[in-house]
Amino acid sequence: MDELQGVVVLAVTNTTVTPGLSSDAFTALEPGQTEYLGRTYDPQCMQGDQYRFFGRRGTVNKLVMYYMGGGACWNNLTCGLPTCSTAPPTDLDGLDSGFGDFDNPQNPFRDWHFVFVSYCSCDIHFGDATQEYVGFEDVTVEHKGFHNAKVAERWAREHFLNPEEVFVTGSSAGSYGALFNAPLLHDVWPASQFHILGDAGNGVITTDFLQNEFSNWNFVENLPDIPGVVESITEGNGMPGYMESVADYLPDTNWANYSTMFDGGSGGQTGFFNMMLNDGNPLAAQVWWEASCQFGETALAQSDDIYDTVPDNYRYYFGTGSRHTMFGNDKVYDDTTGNVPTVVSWVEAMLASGPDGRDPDWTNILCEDCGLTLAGDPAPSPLEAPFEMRGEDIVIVCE
Amino acid sequence: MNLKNLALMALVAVPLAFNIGCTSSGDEATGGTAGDGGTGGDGGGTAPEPYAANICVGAKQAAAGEYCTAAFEAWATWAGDQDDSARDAAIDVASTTLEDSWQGAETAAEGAGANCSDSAWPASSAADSIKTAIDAIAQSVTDGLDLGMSGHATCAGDILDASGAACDEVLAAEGVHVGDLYADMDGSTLAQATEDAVATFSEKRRG
Repeated sequence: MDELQGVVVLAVTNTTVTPGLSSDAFTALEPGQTEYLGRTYDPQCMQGDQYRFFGRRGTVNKLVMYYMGGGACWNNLTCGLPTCSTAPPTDLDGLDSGFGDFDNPQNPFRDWHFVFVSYCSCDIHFGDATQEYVGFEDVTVEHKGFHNAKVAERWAREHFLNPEEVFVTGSSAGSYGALFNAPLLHDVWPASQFHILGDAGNGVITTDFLQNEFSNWNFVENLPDIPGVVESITEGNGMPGYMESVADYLPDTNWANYSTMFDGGSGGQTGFFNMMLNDGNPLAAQVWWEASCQFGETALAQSDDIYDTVPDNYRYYFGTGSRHTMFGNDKVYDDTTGNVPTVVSWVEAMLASGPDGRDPDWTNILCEDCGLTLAGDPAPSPLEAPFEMRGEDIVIVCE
Repeated sequence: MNLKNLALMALVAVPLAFNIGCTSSGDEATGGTAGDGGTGGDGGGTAPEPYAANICVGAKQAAAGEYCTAAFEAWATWAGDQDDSARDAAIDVASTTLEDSWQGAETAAEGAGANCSDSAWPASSAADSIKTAIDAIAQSVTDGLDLGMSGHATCAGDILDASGAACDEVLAAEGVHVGDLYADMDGSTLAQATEDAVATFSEKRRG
């Protein structure tokens, strides 16, 4: 008789995983001013509008913390357009593909609890400032991404008390939200196995941006108290130094970056990198391909540097082409272009890795023929260098 | 709400197996397997203060363990006197105590700036569910026994008491664990407590 086990299970599960929360659909949460750990947070979007995030209960005690992407802005020009998402989704009905498809038996996260941290603050989820950007037309911006993230964190920890595993991820700007919030989340769930994957956010930026524009978000104010982290932002090389510091400090956790080699489009990594290369001029994002080769070269070099420093618990994946982000794309299940394993198999190997050993299939993945684009990948029209035709394929050719 | 799914969720986290029953021979009870409780990074930093919602849930789990003890004790007494109304009255008192404990824990958490009311069932629902499970266990323990015979009644009572104690000990350990996750990051304390509870239960059952 195992019935006594059932009594314990009933009491434990039904005090820790919010049995009243829907497991069929996402519940929208619209927080107001929130007290949390002795501080008052004011969740809001960049123009002061209502912030909204989403939660969904799973059927296994594991949690995905997903940080939504949507560009960023940091001065009068970029925020005046703006070059970022200014409102959260009203619902998540469109989240039905890639790792967001909860009906797909191939999706390793289909049964997990899921907290969707929406994005509308234009500050890669870590801003803590109100900025008056002076220009032709002054712009006031609430960079309150850190407030939004902390309010979502509070909700998450009060609804999923002790998950066995936590997968922290996000796409594009949300990649940075995941990478920078993950150590703070590790403080919330210290007994959980952590996996952190940045999707299309490799931190390929200019020194000028890091030293002069980053401060507009008051970014360093809330960085985790981990040796080397603040220095990586204030006097270091940015993302590589940060990743090396956190992965070294939390050796039981798994860290990873995913990107296509030439992640493009005006809202892609190359688009923002080209803006930075052109003094923050938003028009440079429209000719993003001018930075494609420099982006790919820098992203790979940075990832190699990180791996060299923390080889035990950091990995990277570079796929072919120029598509920006993979989390919500079905290609994660079947694309092997460039002789790469599927993203889902690589993620499963990551999930199988921990302090007792890393799965042998969780390796660094580097595409062959990385310039070969897939159908639908961003490309200039008409084609301009480094994009060109090779037979019937569009390829990116760098020296 | 799918109770089977919820129950399955914890099977991995709390891999604990008890065998219960009065047996005619000396067949061995199967001891439990301790859970590993997951693995966290060590970081090496100063542990933050336990969060109020965690403390609250820990208290709720401990209170659920006390409810378990009281309900099993009520059934153990019933095995001796078959007094249905006395058993039901004792369980009702335990249910009220559980509701008071949970309310107190929620109020304390709220006072400390945390919400602890959403993560669990309402106390009355929790008590009902646990009671249903305990009723089923008690009935399976006493099925086929002649409780008019003192040996059978004593055996059933002892097993039911031991069940309550084991349930209480494991839930108390779960409560301590979730109440301060930093204090038991690798789950070893919880695993040891669970193993001890299973061993004690098995010993009592053999006795």
